[in-house]
Amino acid sequence: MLFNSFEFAVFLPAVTVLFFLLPHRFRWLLLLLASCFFYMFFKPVYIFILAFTIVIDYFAGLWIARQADKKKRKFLLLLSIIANVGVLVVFKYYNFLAGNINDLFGALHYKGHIPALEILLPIGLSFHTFQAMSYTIEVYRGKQAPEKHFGIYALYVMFYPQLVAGPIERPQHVLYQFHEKKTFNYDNLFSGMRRITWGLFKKVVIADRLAAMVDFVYQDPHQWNGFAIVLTIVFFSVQIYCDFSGYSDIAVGTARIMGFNLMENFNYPLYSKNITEFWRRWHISLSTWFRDYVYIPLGGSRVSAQRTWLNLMIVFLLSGIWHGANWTFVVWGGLHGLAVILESVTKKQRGWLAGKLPAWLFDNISMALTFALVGIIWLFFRSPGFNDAAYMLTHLFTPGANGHYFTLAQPDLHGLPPNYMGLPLWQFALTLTLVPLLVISEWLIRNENIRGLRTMPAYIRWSAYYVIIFSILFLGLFDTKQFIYFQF
Amino acid sequence: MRIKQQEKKVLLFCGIGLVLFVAVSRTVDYGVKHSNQDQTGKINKIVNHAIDPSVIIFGSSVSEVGIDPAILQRRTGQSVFNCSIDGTRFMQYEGLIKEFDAYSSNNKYVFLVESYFSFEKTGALTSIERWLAHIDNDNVYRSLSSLQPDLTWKCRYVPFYKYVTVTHTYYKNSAIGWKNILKAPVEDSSLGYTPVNRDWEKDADELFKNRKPFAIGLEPSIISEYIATVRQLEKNGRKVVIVLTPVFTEMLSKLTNMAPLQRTLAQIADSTGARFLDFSGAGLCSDKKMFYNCNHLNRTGSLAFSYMLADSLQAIANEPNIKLAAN
Repeated sequence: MLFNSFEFAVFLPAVTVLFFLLPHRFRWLLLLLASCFFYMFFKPVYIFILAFTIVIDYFAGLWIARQADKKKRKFLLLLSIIANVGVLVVFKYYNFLAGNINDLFGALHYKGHIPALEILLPIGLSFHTFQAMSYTIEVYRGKQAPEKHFGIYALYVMFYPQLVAGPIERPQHVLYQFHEKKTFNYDNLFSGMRRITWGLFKKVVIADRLAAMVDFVYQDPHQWNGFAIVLTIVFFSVQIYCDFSGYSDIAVGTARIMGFNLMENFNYPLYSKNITEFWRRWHISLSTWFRDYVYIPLGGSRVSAQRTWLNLMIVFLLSGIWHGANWTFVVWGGLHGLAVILESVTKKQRGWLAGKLPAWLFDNISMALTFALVGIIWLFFRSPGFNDAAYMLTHLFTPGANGHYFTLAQPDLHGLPPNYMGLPLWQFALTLTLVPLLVISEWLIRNENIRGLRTMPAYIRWSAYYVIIFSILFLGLFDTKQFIYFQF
Repeated sequence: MRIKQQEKKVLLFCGIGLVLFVAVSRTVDYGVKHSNQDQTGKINKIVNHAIDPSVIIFGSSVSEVGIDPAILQRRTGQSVFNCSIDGTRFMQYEGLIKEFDAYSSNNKYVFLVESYFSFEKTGALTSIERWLAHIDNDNVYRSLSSLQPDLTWKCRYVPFYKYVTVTHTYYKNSAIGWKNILKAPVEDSSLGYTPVNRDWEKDADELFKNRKPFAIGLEPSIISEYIATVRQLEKNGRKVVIVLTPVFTEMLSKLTNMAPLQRTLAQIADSTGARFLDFSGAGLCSDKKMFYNCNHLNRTGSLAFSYMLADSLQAIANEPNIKLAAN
């Protein structure tokens, strides 16, 4: 079920009302059934994959906790991880691996061929698999007691607000909340609704509008001039932020209405001053997952500089492949890793430069450069293959076939008005207006200036809420476009 | 005490929001209902009972681009309006026929213009937003509902839902409508005809090359609904003229069962008392200069076809045994 669908608009209030009407002891069951229904709306059969990992990890948790022998505990943890990663390999990476092995066979003139599997990637597989793994790891580390209630454990993996695209929660943060008795609270309702509304606005008004233009250019980048390519890079950066953070806002808001607190997944990454900071602000639940379960066990930064760089590169390459079974994602991760390493190498020089320039100037230049660099690296994330990414990267400043750099209008072959990156002029102009508005709003929220709004008279606050709600209804694109991160 | 205050706040916020929303949505819809442009304008003309021509033409894009009512008017002296709506088939515009049939007092001839795809089953509505301002009209609702019941039901009965399905065109039409309300509207001199000044499209050739011979679907439930509508029109004293439009010869060679369609239409005419005019093999069908793709006539083709149709209408009108309600 999509958050931006009619079905969810019915589902959310129905489940929330039932949740508060039911006695506490039955609420876990309601949430579990609701989560199953929510997930099965996409493709029912994949619930069995979830059930498989849930059963494995539930028992693994119990057995690890019971076992005193460290070797046996490690063995059980390993089994659980193999089961989880195995599911990922089969459903997400098998065809990628088979394709690469077949390419290798071809290059070596070997006649062997590994057949491809005709399977669809279960929605959100990487998210709930990683969440399940964090449970067994934390139990193994002794930081989390094993959950004895099978239903509550299943709910930990399947809780519908964060089931398909995170945040990837930790057991210490969420499991106890399912045992707590929640009471209805207006503050939670208001705060949750505000988050849902803002998330929906970012998704259907901004992200999906930008998606129409970005998709149009990516269909055939060769017919566009450098200016359109630069705009596409900027637009995709904003699109993916609004899409994914919009989802996270809705997830956090949905849970909050019922009294559950989910971790924040974004902290205004558009305003990061370097790539390291970007990764502290972007998809925080995944970054911290890799930090806690890969980077630190590898030695983190407590080892030699070279080893730290290697650790960083391993984490970013894994992060790349986590996103998708394609070399473009590996390169995307690798480039981020390289950028973080370069930042670590040039730390002194940057510090020296920061001392020479006024702070506001240094900060703004850093933000602009970081935004540009992240945007360029997104090329590899968004492009279906390297050819398109390479073409766009090498044609950022190239004029179009008509010799003009700034022309965006494309004539219609059937005599209709020209389109601007696939949209009619007024839609294009609207998008160009909305994007800076969003950037300014987020800037104000980030700098806490927006809090002033809360102290303002109700008619001003409410007007602002009505504008956002009406924008969603009248300007939103509701062609039930999936969230980008669902595919991971 | 605090909870009561909060409840009041929630009610007030929702209440004001609802009032504002109703006001905005009524304003938008009222504008759309007064638009006189494009397909929305045609739908408005019928549902607002704003036209009552002697001859009305219903069909899809094939007849929208293919029949010039002005030629029929000049030749026959009758008032004519082309109410064809592109992208639609009979099941979608059936509501308009029924609405027109219910109010018209001047109409004598109803042209139902068909092409080879007319009775193929389709489960999708085309551009539902053109119809949404009139979703409360029962005839419109029933015909849309026959194609996509879920979507149509939600658009009619779920508050706000209508607005999440529309695109900018809906608001553009609203603006046009309001302009018409505030200033006298410029009347549509084309009478619903949309000529296309294009030569044969290159990609249409590609389509032929790659297309294997195929059969046309003839859905029995659509045919029986069609027969019922024709009967009702005839019963109300209108002469129904079923027209099968010109199809480019090369396309005809790809269709493996054109003959059953022709037979079906002829049988419908026989059983209902309607007239059937088959132009699918007319002389102009072998001339590529008349088409811009396999079944759409360009301006040149449409002029030639309109004259042929006008002559046929004249001949029908001159037949002594035709008794019409308006006479």
